[in-house]
Amino acid sequence: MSAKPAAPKAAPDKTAEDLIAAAGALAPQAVFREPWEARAFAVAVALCETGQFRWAEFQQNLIDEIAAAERTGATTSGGTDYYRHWLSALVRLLEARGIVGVAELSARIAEVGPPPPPQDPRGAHRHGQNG
Amino acid sequence: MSDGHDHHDGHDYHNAPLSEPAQRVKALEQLLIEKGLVNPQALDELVDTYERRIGPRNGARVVARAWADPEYRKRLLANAAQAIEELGFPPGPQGEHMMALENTPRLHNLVVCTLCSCYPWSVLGLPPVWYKSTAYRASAVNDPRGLLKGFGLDVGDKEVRVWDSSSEMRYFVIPERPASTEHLTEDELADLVTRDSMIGTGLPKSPSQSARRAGASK
Repeated sequence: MSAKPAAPKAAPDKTAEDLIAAAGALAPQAVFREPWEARAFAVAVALCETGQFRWAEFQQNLIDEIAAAERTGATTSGGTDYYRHWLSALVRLLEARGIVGVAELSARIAEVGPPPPPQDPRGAHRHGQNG
Repeated sequence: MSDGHDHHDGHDYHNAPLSEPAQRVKALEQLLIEKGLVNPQALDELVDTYERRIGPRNGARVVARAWADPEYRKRLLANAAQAIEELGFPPGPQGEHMMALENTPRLHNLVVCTLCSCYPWSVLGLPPVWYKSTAYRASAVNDPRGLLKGFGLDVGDKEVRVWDSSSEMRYFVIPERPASTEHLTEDELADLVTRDSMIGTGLPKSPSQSARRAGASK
């Protein structure tokens, strides 16, 4: 089949070893390497199944994320970096649809993130009573 | 969430810090649950389904049936999605449009998705890491024979046909039935079918390989 113009470039001499190394390193069941990858996967599938978007729309965003990364010369190993693209594609779609706002997501990320340092003003009303 | 930030004092405080994408996913999931758009149990079930229940064993059953039953093979080639559903494997969100590709003594098929990671989930589960890698996606198109060699596969002078999956069409390969398998049951045939043989980066096991595997693990 003739080469497709959009196909990513890679150094062919490194390919074979890379592939074998990647394949050999994988346990048969290692579909996800980290729990968050599985959650990101499931959220996208669940939202598609309930009709929040069509799969092709999500897919296009995923293609764009991967292409943008590869245009800068970065390669995708297909592991965790792939699910980072997946997550960005999903967030972008949900923001574009107004399903999740940029600000509310940032705010929530800050909340679920690591605990604030002791001098954080929020530490003042810890234990949440009265206020 | 409108009821303030009291949940800050919850147990999450004491867990190991989450990585940046893990924080993002957790935040996203919380918001979507609060909006009533996802159900945490449904997410658990999806993860379990794709981690454990859907995988290449499904495809192996399809291929074994196609090897054993010429009428089924015809139906599979004519309408893959329908023939796969016949065996009780429903199409996933990616599975509606599927095509089964027949390897022959003169033709070897190889499946790739050059732009992202389209893959026949309903028969193969989720793709292996290397399938999504830049290296695989590039070399399947630029140098398919070199790529097959990298997988230890020499297809001789067969024609190699590369199929680029998309959201419109997903492909999987019906490999050639190995020699000396006439006496095998469908279950035994299914044991010979590997994931890679349905992507086109491998061949089915021979009955002797299969027996060796089952005997002494090496």
